[in-house]
Amino acid sequence: MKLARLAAALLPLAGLAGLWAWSEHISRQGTDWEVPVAGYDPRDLLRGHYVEFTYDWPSRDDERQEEGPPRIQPPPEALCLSGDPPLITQAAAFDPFDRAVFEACAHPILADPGGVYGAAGLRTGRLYVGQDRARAIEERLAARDLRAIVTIRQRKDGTFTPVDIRFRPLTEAEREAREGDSIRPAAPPIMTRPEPGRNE
Amino acid sequence: MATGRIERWHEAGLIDAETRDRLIAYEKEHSRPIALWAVFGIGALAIGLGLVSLVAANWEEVPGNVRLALHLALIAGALVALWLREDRLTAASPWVVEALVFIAAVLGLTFFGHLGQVYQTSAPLWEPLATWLLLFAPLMLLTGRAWPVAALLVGGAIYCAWEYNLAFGELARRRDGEDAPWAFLALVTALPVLFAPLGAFLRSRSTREAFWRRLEQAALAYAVAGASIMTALASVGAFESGAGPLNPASQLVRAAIIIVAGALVAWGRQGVSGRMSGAILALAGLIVAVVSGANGIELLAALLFMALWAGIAAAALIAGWRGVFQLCVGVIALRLIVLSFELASDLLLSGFGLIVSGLLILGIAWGAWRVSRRFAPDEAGKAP
Repeated sequence: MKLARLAAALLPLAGLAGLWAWSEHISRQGTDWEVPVAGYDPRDLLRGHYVEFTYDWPSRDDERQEEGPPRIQPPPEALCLSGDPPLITQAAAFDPFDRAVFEACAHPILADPGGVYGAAGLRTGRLYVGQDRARAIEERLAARDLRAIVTIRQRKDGTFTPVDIRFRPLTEAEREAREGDSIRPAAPPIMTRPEPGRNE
Repeated sequence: MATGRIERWHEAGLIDAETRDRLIAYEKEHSRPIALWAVFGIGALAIGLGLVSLVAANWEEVPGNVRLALHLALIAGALVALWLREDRLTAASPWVVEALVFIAAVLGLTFFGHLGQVYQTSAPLWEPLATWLLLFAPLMLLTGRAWPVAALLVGGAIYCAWEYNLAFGELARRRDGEDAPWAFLALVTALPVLFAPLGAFLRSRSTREAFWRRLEQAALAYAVAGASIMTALASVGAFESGAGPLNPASQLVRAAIIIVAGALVAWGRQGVSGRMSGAILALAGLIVAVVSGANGIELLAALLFMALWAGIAAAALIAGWRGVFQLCVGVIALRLIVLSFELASDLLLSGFGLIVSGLLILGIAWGAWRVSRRFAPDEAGKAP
């Protein structure tokens, strides 16, 4: 009886410590990739503090849509990343149930159907951060001239975890692309201030 | 406060002067400075809240591993105190042991969330719940003393079973369509009822009779509440004839588990009380088995509900559970009132109809009161 009680007291301790060690071990595995993100939704206070974002996977040129209204597609459930870590040059979607493609891919990532976002886990992600940092990140995500980059840690079995988020100023090309998309304000020339280094 | 009342009793001739003086002297001697205690309490509460908010404000400053280590150390502290001092603490008050087990178990549950926070992991809720049950159920079963731990254990098992049912059912529906293993999922949701025979069997065979009684009661309450909710679902026509978590085959699986649990309770706890407890489970099982037949038929669903509670009332009469009997009378009276609204909702649209339903409610309440007074078992018999 005494032995059983000792075992009952040790079991939770050993189990929790084991889980901790396993989480630590898993968190150190994998390859870090940097994914640009676009847009975000405000954090949900009930679930703690996190920032939510939409991944902006670099797709192949022939997949990119040139003309016409945007097609609404279901989010990919599996992607094969290629490039030189942490830089992704291409993220190609594939069928998550196709084992052959999965085996052939060096760096696969899969949407976790049991995760928070389910099958949409490759479209939307979240990063848990402290309250203060979440607020700062929120402000910077809203800034037009900053590009948010999320670092994900991808493992051999297709699981991945967002580990960090950072910001960089937009490159010249990205700025051009953004300006091209947006409607320019039609203010009289006297009202526009000349920008340094630009001759408009 | 008491002095004034004692004076009044004396004036009414209920107690003589000598008794009055003795009572007043006793009250003076045993008076508790409630106001002072309240001030102490407020001070202690302020300090506690301050500590909590200090920790919360600096939560992100503390490295994750340090936080997890502190968390684990708290659990270890509670467990070591239990292991080394359980007998001495029990001698002081069984509630101290109960509180320690409860706190250790709850801290263990929050440890999963804490791990997820530090390592940015997420998992379907049933996974941490199941792991927690696996790790902490032996501790709770071996050291629980009263209802909080019993309720935590049975409640945790029920929550885990239904989370599993929801998560896996949704996944299975998407993947397998009609062929999802609904019967297996129904079996999982019925498993927590098996705590009833466990509690019933160990009640007379353990020094912690109160804990096993509560465990049996909690599982019994799950079966009765489940059967009651199913009659309510039938009343609104929620049962599906095709594949799904509430199809007839799933209901039969649930019913079988509950009836087996009832038989085991009757076998494991000899005596009238044990037999009646088992009979209630068997009745709940029968209701669960046939309830989908009453789908969409309000009157039949209400009759099934009332049959269940009338059966419990009969068991309470035989076993002498006064409180349970009165609860049954109240529940049946409420269901009658709801049924009258369900069947004759258009009555409420006219003044005459309102008067009729008001009279009906008064009649039911009066009838319930008479039944309760006339038939309720005399002595304050303990619940099952």
